[in-house]
Amino acid sequence: MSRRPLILITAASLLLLALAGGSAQAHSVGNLGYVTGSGMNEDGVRNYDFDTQRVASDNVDWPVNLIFFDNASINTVKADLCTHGDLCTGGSTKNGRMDDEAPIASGSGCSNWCWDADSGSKTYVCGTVWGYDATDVHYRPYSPNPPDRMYNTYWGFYVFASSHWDKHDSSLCPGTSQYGWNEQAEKVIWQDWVDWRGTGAAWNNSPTDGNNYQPKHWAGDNYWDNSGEVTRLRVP
Amino acid sequence: MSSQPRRGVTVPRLVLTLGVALVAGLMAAQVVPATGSSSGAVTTDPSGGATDDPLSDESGPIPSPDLSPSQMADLGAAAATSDVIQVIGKGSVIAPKDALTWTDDVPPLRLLGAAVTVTFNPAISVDADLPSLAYDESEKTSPPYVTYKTHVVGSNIGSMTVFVDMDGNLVGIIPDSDPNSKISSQETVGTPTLPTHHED
Repeated sequence: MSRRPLILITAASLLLLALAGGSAQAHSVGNLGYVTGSGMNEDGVRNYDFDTQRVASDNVDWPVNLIFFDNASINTVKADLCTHGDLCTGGSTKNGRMDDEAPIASGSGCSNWCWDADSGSKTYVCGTVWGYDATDVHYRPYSPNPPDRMYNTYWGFYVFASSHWDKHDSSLCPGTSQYGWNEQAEKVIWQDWVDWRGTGAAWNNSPTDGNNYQPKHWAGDNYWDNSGEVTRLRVP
Repeated sequence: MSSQPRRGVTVPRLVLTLGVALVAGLMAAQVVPATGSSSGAVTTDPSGGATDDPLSDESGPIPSPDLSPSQMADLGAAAATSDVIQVIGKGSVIAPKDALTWTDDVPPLRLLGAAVTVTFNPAISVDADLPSLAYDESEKTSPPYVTYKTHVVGSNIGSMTVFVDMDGNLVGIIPDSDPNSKISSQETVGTPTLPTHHED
């Protein structure tokens, strides 16, 4: 009885993915570097995710602008944001790069930088976000896999993520395809978290600096807008 | 008799205590920045965060050109006074709200023009063929986009995003950039050959 809806949802997700396009074009930035600040301690996180597993300013996808901390893991974050933010649909796979200097605590084997690939999760591809039709919110969380989480004494168990909006990202909702709105995507997820866990578990700034400020501008079909502040969301 | 229970309790506690101390010591050795990792010293930003990725930036930073203030003003005016905008906005006050730099996305980055938010007061209704652009992400053509027409039907449109090239020519309109607008349909006119659509 309970399997039929799951099969239908899975089939629908596959159809939507098929209707969407293939791999995306990488973007170019002038401030590829690292997430820094007191919260990062000895760990390392690249401040953009990458189209492929190649570190290059002309191979980035989107800025890292979210940290889930305290007791986070990829699976718990995805489950929580699917249940409480409708971010359940898969996207195309991108690559985060990180260095977890406490592998004994986290269980990871990433003490000298490693990659993690993740397709992330998005809302319905032709949905409505903040009144904008044909728009979805898409985030991609990263951490060494296994164990799908990092550790340091400031954040506890944590994962980091990039986020953006897609517009007209499927033939089901025709129109000019556009991507970006990083600051707005970050705020949607922050609001999802506030609505669910309250203001005591979500902050739209942190002692950690993304070093990935992007003024409002267009590059190709991408609208860039990112404050460089990293939103922190607590997973109890 | 009396020593047996003590040994039975004390030895596990001692092992546990030593184990906890050992793990704590190992963790401390891993998490204190000054001691670094087992692979060697960690290079960190003074404020925190490792910055010693052995994979360096292969391409180097990509500088992005910006429109000058006068170019922004000129291209903003060009968008607002374009024939298409004047026709669909007839009866409303039309004004450029802002003009943002528009570049390509493959280095070296070049200016393509401006993306201008054009406002309509009062909001307008549209039932017309409007210019659209489909961006060619491979950027193998110049300009790196294809222009075509989209039939748009909508109401309560308070603003649109209008793309103009560096000469001020209108090349595409995004009709649904106003969250208060109601766009009931967007249909491609004819069967233009458009670049491959990439999911991002």
